[in-house]
Amino acid sequence: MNTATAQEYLIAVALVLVAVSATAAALARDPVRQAVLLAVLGLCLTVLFTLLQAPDVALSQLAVGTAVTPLLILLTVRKVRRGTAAHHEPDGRGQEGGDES
Amino acid sequence: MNAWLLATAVLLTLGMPPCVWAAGRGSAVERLAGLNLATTVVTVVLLLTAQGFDRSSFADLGLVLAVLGPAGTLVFARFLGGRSIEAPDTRRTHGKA
Repeated sequence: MNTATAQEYLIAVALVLVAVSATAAALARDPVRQAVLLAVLGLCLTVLFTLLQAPDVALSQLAVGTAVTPLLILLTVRKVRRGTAAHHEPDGRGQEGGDES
Repeated sequence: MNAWLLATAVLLTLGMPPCVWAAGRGSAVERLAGLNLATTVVTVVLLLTAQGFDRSSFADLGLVLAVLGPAGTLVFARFLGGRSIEAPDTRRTHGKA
């Protein structure tokens, strides 16, 4: 098995991994779980770009897809849920205060 | 095909599918374990690729991922754990006490 065949095999495996993780990320309904799968998808895309001899694209994909995008999603989810909890706050406060005291 | 690319192929074929599978089921905290394992496996794959293609510039990717991976896991753990710790009733209790 020469180097070109090995390279094509590696690219095929990376493509399958990208397809599987992207499908799983698209099928996940909870945004928090989707953020974890998006990080895995970023890792698989990094491997694919590296095997396609594009290390600079892989470096930017690594920084954006693995770190920034899940962080933004988690921040957004926390902000939205906190706003929803503050919206329903008068109902929960009396019950919780009564339970705690 | 040298031994480095062979090791890359073996690790990418046998190592990554369990990580994707672990990251695709269970609760968010259980998925975090799959993500952490995938970060480690991808770091090794990138370093092996740098050796196999005989391009030392590819090693920077592995080094960047080695820095970003644990930091990202810490960020995930902070937000996932903070959601249950900083639930609205718990925060108000701490605020009163």
